[in-house]
Amino acid sequence: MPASAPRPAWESRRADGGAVPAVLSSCDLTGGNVRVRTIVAGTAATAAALLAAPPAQAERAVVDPEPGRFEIDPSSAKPDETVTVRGRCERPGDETMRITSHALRAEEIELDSDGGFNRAATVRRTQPGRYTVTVICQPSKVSYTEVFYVHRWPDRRETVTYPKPEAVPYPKGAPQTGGGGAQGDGRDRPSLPLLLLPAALAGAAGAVTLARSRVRA
Amino acid sequence: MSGPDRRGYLVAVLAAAAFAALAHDGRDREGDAEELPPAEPVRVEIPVIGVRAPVMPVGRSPDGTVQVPPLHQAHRVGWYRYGPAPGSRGSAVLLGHYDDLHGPAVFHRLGRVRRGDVVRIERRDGRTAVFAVESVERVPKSRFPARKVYGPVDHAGLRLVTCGGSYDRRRRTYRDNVIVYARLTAAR
Repeated sequence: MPASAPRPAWESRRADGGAVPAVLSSCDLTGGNVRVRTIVAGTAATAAALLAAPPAQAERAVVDPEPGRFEIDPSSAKPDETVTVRGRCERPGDETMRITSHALRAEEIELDSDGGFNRAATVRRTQPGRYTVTVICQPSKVSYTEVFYVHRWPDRRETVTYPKPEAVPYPKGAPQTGGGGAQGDGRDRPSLPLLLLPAALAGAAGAVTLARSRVRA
Repeated sequence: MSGPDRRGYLVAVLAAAAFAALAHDGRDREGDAEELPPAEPVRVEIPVIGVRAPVMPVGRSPDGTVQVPPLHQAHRVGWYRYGPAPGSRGSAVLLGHYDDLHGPAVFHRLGRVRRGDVVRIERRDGRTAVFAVESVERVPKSRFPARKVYGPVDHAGLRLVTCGGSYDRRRRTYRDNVIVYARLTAAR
């Protein structure tokens, strides 16, 4: 392969400038040095992949769940504290959702256009322990269940309910709060006088032509 | 009154005036109310522009941008739930639509808010956090000041965000954001 040719991602650069595949292939079994280099390259690639994985997972951790699943954040809390139940009803036509649980209390809410919900719920004053939380989508009555833990109350050693702001990266880009542009459609259009200008010029030219023809007559 | 006595009198008057001015300034800076524990906001009121709207929590979209209330609920305001609650220390962020497919939405007149105007946030714990507007700015979306909006502050701050500027029909979005910065002045 010429040195200037673009190399695929699975190749790593050798000390002498050549390319060593990161994947062990049959031709590598012929030379011990090549095999060692290949294993090292493969190990390095695996390590790089493992090192790169945590940030990606951290990013995904704050993305809302897929249809048909929901999550409770945090997954444990003390009585009277507030947690968030969020997810999505997957059946088309579902309009509302409600939560049934001996651990959480929340009002029924409307779903957004994608069937999503993002609801604050209050932890009931109940015994500490493991509880199930069921989300019921209406009118399909499809339900999903998750586990939630109620801590002893009061217990100062428990963690706080809300995540620390600096623990989550800032959202990317600018908020798209523009809606449908109902109030902005006209702003990029030419103004009415500009739209009427050609018609006015044509009319004036016609009037001048008519006047001249009458003068000649 | 002799010459030196008159000078002494003037110096005393000026010193008293300077002290009074500094003391007044100090009272302004001490206008912050005690910060509140975390609790979800449920309603926002901006009397000067006639806003009284329900608040819903919003998070992040898969592309990393902040979620906003769905267009068919453009009367609602979104609270960025990964930030602080309004009334707690830090920058609480509320987002509202400028318009929807049919007409003006909840934050349509946000750009008319001025320094000193009042914003009230009712919270699920029954407390009401009262904020005073410090500044209003309109910035291009390409230069959205994320750190200034979401970043940490040493007081209980509030940011109200909507769209503004001209409408880019090709991208189907407004070119700017209107951002209102406010800080907590009272809690009831």
